Amino acid sequence: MLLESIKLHNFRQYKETSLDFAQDIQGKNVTIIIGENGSGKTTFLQSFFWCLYGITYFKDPVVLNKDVAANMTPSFPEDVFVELKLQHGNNKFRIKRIQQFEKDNSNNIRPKKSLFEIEKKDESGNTSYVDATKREHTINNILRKELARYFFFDGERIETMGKEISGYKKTEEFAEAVEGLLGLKGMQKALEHLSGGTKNSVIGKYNQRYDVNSDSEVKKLTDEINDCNDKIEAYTDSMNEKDAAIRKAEELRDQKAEELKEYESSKALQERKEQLQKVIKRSLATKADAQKEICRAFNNQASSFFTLKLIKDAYDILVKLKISGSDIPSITDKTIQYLIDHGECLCGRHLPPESVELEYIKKWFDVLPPKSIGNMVNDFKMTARNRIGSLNDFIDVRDGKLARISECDEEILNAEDEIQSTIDSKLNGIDVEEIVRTISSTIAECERCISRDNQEIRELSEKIGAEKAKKESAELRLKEHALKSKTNRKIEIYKAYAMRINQLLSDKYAKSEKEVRSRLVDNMNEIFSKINNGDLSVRINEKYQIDVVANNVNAKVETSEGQSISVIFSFITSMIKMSQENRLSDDRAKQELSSDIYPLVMDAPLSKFDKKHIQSVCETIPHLTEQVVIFIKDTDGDLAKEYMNAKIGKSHKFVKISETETIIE
Amino acid sequence: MYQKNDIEIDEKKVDALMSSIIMMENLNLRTHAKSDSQMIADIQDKIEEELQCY
Amino acid sequence: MFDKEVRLIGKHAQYMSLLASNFGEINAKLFNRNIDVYVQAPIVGFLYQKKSEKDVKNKDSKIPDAHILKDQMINAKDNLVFNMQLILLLDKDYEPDEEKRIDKAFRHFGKDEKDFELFESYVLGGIEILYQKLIENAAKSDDFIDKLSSFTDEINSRYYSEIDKDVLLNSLN
Repeated sequence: MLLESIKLHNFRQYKETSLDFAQDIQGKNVTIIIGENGSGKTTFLQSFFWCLYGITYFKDPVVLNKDVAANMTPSFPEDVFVELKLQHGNNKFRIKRIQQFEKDNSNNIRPKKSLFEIEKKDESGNTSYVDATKREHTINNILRKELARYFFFDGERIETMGKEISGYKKTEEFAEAVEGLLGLKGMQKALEHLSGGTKNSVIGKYNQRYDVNSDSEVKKLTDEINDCNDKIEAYTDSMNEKDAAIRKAEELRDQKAEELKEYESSKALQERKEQLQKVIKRSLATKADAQKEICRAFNNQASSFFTLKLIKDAYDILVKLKISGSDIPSITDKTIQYLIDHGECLCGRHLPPESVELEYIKKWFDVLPPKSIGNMVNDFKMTARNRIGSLNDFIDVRDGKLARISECDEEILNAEDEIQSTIDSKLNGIDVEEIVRTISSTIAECERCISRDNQEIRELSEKIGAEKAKKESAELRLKEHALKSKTNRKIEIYKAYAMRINQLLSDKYAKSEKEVRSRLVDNMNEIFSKINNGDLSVRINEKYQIDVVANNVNAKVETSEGQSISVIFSFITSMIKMSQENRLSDDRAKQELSSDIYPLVMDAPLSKFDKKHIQSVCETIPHLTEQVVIFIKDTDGDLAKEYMNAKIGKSHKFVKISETETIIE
Repeated sequence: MYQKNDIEIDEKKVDALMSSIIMMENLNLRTHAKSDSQMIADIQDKIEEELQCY
Repeated sequence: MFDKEVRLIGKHAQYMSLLASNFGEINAKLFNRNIDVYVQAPIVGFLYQKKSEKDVKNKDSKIPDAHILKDQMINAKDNLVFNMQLILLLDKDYEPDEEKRIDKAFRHFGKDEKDFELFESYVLGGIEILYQKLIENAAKSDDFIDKLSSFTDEINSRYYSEIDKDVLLNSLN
């Protein structure tokens, strides 16, 4: 299918709009449509769906333009139409869908007539109109409804998928694509119908069909089985609820743990600060002690310290004196004077004046104070000795203490410096401990809930196991019993076949699913590697979670937004390609697709791709299919022109005039 | 012949049933004509018809 | 001599009180009591050759006097006598004749009133030096310790580079 043009009349905000598509003339197969979000892209895409299939996904089923709706009157109904011109195979089609709306007397808009026409022109130029009964078929031949969504891919879906990819969640689109598009859905539905519900399924219904009236034993067993089924269902529902709750709690816990990490470093900083403050306090105390000790040493030694030099100089003087002293204790000049005055010596001898004895006695004055200073000098010397003796290296002691003080000062300075420059600037006044406490308790609460729920799940699991065992035993007994009754035997046979079919189908499904998924991944990687210059590959597991892997080290890499977009991109184009190749399905209608060509109409969030990939993406886009229509934002316009200029055949712009009107330039 | 307890199961019939059930499902996916319970009933009918035939 | 209560007035009283009180945030003391200041001051005054007069100008101001009790003086008498003897022995300006200096220090110790006045003037001068070197402009403990260190360094380097304490000690025997 190749799009030629589209015309919209009163379709939502498009009053009178037409648009031509680039038709790959001279290799220019790209149509770019520039428009900001909210300018009407989604609506525009929806118009395709509406035209082809009559369906929209709008909340408001009234697709009539609001201005027109406001201005109309009950007597004059208004039309909405979308006309699509395209080429499919050798035929040209003009497809037009018209919906009439009427206003009732209460000012409400109601849909009235609805018309659909398909005009067909074959290669010879013959025009015909497709019969009403065949129209849906014709459309489905051109583009099956289920496939349509892969040809028209809007930004919202891209965004949703992107979130699923980066959140490592099950990518619904992939799962849907594998199951639906590629033929597995039928099998899945069959399995569902065969054994999906304990009551609402083929097997379930057979279980209930046992002729309960004919045998009370059978009834009893059937009731027992039903009861088990009910319980199993209830427990399973409960388990699923708990599972969801656990997932939620885990999410919250992980989120809080991340938050906590941020505060961990703050907490560490705060602890370091306290540690440093202790160091400062200790150093100040040590310093104060050292200072006090200097003072104490000074108190004790000041005397000696100050007088040491003077004592030496005094000594130098005194050493020259010939000091003679007296050995006789307690004899004073007064004693001698007394003896002289009384003219009598101690021994009793007279001391006559001018006598030798008198002169001899007088000589004592020379050796006694005050004439003789010997004793005084001795006293002096003793004091001097004491002074010197008590001098205890004041300077050395002082220097030792000063060194200690210096060390303390440096410790204090370093600690204060660290506190000021690295810690306080980062802590910024928050009470880290409080916050950490709060977050920690939230985490603890989550853990509690998780473990409690896990415990409950375990218990439920056991209960389910018990019920299943009960059920199996009852079924066994029932079967034995049933085989005895003819009617019930028949039912037993039907049931056996149904179960066998179920089993084979189940195996086949698993195998097919794996095969299809792997083909999808291979196709995706062909395109993905083109975009990534061979550096990365995509992997999808059975839960439809996406991994992006670096080829050279075979290790998972974080999925950036740009990569997610690349992944989605590869997916869409793979889907188109695979639907063309579809070999798995034995559905004839699908095989008809394989020879045709299809356009790709999508949002291209160019700026979200990694810078180094934009070029390869832009170079890849035009080659993906024969016709490419991309919606881009205003700001990406330059990027598109830069890399795809040679391929752009048509360029249009959405301009939002008002809330109710958009035009296309 | 596959035996399941006392019941003999004809594999040819199983294969035939499997194909027609899948075809029914695929058709219904396109037309959405039948509800789940209708489909279940149809499958049951298919099984019983196949088994009642010669 | 040295057996009566001593009272200082004016700035010397203030200085003495400051020298004998707690300083800085660590509450340490340079001199334990007023008497300790009085004992060291004359030596310091002599070393720095500074004499001073009583501060009578500030008689009316609110500066409290500084006291030293009689008993304290008597207990410190030996040290005071020794210090005075040192000064008398070594003050060449006061008495150029060495013999006379020896007499003043020993034979006639305490007999000349002028000798005592000399001593007192060195006391007051020494107090001024001590204040200037140890107290003036200091606020925190660090300041006082710095000043003390500088002061003791000054004395140490000026006088003690060639003195060996043990040699001196032996020679006095």
